[in-house]
Amino acid sequence: MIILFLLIGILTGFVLAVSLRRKKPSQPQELPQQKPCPQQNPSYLEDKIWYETELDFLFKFNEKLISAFGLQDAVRCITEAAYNFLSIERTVFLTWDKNSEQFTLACAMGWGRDRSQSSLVIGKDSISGLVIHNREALVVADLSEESYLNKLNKEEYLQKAFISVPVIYKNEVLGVLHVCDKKAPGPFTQREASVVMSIARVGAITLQNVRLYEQALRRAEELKIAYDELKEMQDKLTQMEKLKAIGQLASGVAHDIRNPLGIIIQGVSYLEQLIPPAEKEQLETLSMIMDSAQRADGIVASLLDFSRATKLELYPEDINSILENCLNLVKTELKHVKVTRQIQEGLPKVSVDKNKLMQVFINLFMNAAHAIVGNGELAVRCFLKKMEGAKDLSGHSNISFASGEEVIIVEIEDTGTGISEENLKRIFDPFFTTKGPGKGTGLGLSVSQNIINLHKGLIEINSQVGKGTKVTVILRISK
Amino acid sequence: MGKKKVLIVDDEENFCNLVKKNVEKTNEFEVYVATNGDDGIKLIKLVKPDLILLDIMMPGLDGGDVVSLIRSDSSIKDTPIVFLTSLVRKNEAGVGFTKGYSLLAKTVTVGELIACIKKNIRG
Repeated sequence: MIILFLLIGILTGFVLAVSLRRKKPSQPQELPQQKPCPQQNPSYLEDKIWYETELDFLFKFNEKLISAFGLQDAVRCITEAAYNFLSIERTVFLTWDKNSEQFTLACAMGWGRDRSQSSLVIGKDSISGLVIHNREALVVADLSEESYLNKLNKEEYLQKAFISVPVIYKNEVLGVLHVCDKKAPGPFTQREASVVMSIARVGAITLQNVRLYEQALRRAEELKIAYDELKEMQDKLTQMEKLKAIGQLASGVAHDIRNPLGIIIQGVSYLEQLIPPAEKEQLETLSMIMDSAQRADGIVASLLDFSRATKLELYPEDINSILENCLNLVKTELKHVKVTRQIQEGLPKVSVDKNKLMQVFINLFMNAAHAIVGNGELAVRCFLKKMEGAKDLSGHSNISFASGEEVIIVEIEDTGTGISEENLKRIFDPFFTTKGPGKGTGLGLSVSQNIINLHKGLIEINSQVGKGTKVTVILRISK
Repeated sequence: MGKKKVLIVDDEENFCNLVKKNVEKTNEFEVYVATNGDDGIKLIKLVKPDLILLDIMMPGLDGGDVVSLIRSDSSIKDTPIVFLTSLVRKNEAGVGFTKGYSLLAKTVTVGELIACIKKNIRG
């Protein structure tokens, strides 16, 4: 019996010992100190109040921090918390940039009115530098007595007593929080220091989160830009490949198609001379064959432009006479159109390939002529202009105009049917046409754009359905 | 004054014959036909044409070879040459070709062809 009691006694003692150890493994010695009866120890009350206030404060601080929006807001929230909780003169938050190894003032309270706005940059040979180097809080009772600190660069807001806490999240230094000079004289207590450390610890997590979030946003934005660029580049490449293929096909096929076309045209011409004018039906049939052959020839010619639109023969030319030549060549097509010219006299010469440029203008005039149903007007303007603001053509990195650069503008404006917004987007695509089967190859504007871009110039089209279309060609002046 | 002599050198025989018919219809020209570069050179030396219509892309001696042979022979080197090619647009044919040659598209109309011959022929 005695042995049994003894055994039970030993077991109970053992279990108690184990459970006590499990409750507070890290602070086994603190437990008994916090246990004394409240009535017997007045400092316990003080402790309790302090802890409750601290807990309540940290809880509220946490709540506020969670809703902080952006890095600056989070930093202000942390600085404010330290400033409001303790009765002190100043709080300063510096952020650390590991690349430049410098601190920057992110927020200051109680230290002049506009301090948080002005930028303050501190190197690592400062008290802040020491704090992040040691990676632990520095509690100073009187700075004037700390000769080792005074050897460092003096930070003007650190006067007498202060707590400097590194804001660190998982080895990554984010900044330093300085809490300076109590309103009532005297040093900071360990307890006060521990609150500041808590603020810094909780703050660090939020700051890191905000930083990561902002980083993620930036990455996403960068990714989107990169993706868009890639997509655009891919489209361009596909387009270029397409054009290249057309070019190769064109020169190969041109020979094989044009030889038989030549025979048809010569043959029809021969027959036309043999048939007496009275045989109208026969002559009409021949005329139809001739028209079809000419149309087929036109398609081959347009295709050929792709294979050759790479080399220019540039000479300084008078743009007005080029325009006048072109208008002259298409005057039969423009019979129903009233053509007005507003040509600036004495324009400088432009360095262009005259034949290719003529091809562009003839094409534009023909388009205008086709767009005008019934009577209409075509205005041709040509003038010197200074570029307002730099102009870039996306996708053509070599084509850009500096702000203020003098250029020659050619405007061709018609009162025709206009182009819908949807068609306007595709207007320069090869083989895009609204002219209906057999009437256009859909290569005219595509070739025109190629030619103008080869001249390092720009072609733009504005249009409104029912009102008309304005084509603007911007050309460089020869130097 | 007799008719001017025009030689056409082109590997497309039907084309040559039709051009011959059309050009001779004007009663101003006599047209000779060669369907390859070698025959062309022989005929040039034999006939001494006033103008040559020359295809560029031909099997065997091509247009370029024929031109260098013509230009290196002093008796025929000044003969005007009009190239017939499938590689030009119609509206640039006869215009803008440099270095003393003219260029015509294969699909040229008879009217344009005769105008070009008249323009380039000497005398």
